[in-house]
Amino acid sequence: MKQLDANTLVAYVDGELDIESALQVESLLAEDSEAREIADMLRDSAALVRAAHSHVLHEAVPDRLLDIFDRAPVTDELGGDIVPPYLVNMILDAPEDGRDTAAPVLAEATKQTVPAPAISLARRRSIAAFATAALFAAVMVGGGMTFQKYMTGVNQAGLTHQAKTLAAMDDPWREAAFQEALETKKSEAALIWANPENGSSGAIVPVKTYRRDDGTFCRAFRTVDTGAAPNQPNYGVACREAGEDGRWVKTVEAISTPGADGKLQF
Amino acid sequence: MDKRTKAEMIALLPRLRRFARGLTGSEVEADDLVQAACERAIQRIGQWQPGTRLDSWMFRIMQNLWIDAIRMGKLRGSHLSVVDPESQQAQGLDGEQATMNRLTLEAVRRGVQRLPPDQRSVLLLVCVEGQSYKETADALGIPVGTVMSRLSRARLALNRMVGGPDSEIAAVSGGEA
Repeated sequence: MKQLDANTLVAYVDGELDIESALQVESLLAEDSEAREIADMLRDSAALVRAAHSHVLHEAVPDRLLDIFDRAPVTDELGGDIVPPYLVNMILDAPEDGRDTAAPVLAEATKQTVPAPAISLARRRSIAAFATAALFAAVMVGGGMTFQKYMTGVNQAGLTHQAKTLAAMDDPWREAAFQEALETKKSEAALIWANPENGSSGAIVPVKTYRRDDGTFCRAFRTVDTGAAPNQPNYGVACREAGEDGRWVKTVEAISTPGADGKLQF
Repeated sequence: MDKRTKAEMIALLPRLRRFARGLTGSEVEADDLVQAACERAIQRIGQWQPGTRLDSWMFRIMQNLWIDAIRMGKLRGSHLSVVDPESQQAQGLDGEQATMNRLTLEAVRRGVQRLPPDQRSVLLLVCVEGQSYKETADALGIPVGTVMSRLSRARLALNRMVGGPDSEIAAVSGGEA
């Protein structure tokens, strides 16, 4: 290893070099087997360190950490009255004090309006299935490091595709959390999800509950998503559709950003 | 603090806990660190520039609290995390391979705890939390060149501990814990 120092190699392996320098490193690597071994080792060590710490993402966040945020003062009322009036027939909850009892009300009211919500068990099963899949993935990374090796050859044109693929990896987690949050969380209570495979995480926060004139329940929600591509919707309304086995289906999605006056812009 | 920032901080909690666990090696100390970091972040939210990465800002707060705690002798600076519910389940899947994986990951966690604190935080920010070299340099208040040298030293050292001839795996499977 004559012309390559460890710092340049580590930057190359981590994708921190510009394309020109990266190509230069690659041509040097092609004729330097010792450097190639070190590059492989640097890459493997990163994957191992990640795999060794991923289990923390599976753990439930302790209440004492969530409690800090219950006590934190909040300045604006993001997600106020922005639900289109045609959608809303009856507002069930208008949380004056930031808290409400919408979820229990919803559950109670639904007993009469929607036939047997058999989705609950199925949903739990699907969450368990995702957890198992993630477990397998973590074990794979710990053993073979094939994913990292696969990542090596990614060129610049492939990166956008790569980013989309990574964002899509979160979809099952996002969707399971979405169904769970709207079904079980009170308004303004966050449900947090995390994908241990790539470190993405997010939260889904129901903000209000409504009932359409056909009796269907709808809830406005906000989302925060560290893994999503930029400019994705972060606000919306979903309704529990009887035709979809009682799944929550998005009817409105929007990007909301607070303006200078603190009001929402669309 | 607006509601969006609050929700974003809550969403970051799993990752903050992971970073803290890697730093301290102990579940209780890690959650104490996360709690202190969140309280400070809420208190100083005015110092965060909207539009910049909230995760990087919070990692920086946590890193500073951790270094302060080590300097004041509140943390021992090195621990061993033993609990790994994931690997216990994994044993049922494919006995030998899973045990091997468990031992390897255990040795990696041990190795990370044996690294000097300044190498440990760079390694965790880049390799686990996916922060760029620039973000890591900003979080730690060091030049990018220093990030690179700490990172390569940490990974070479870890390799010696985990995969090298005097590997840690032998020590772990020998029942040292």
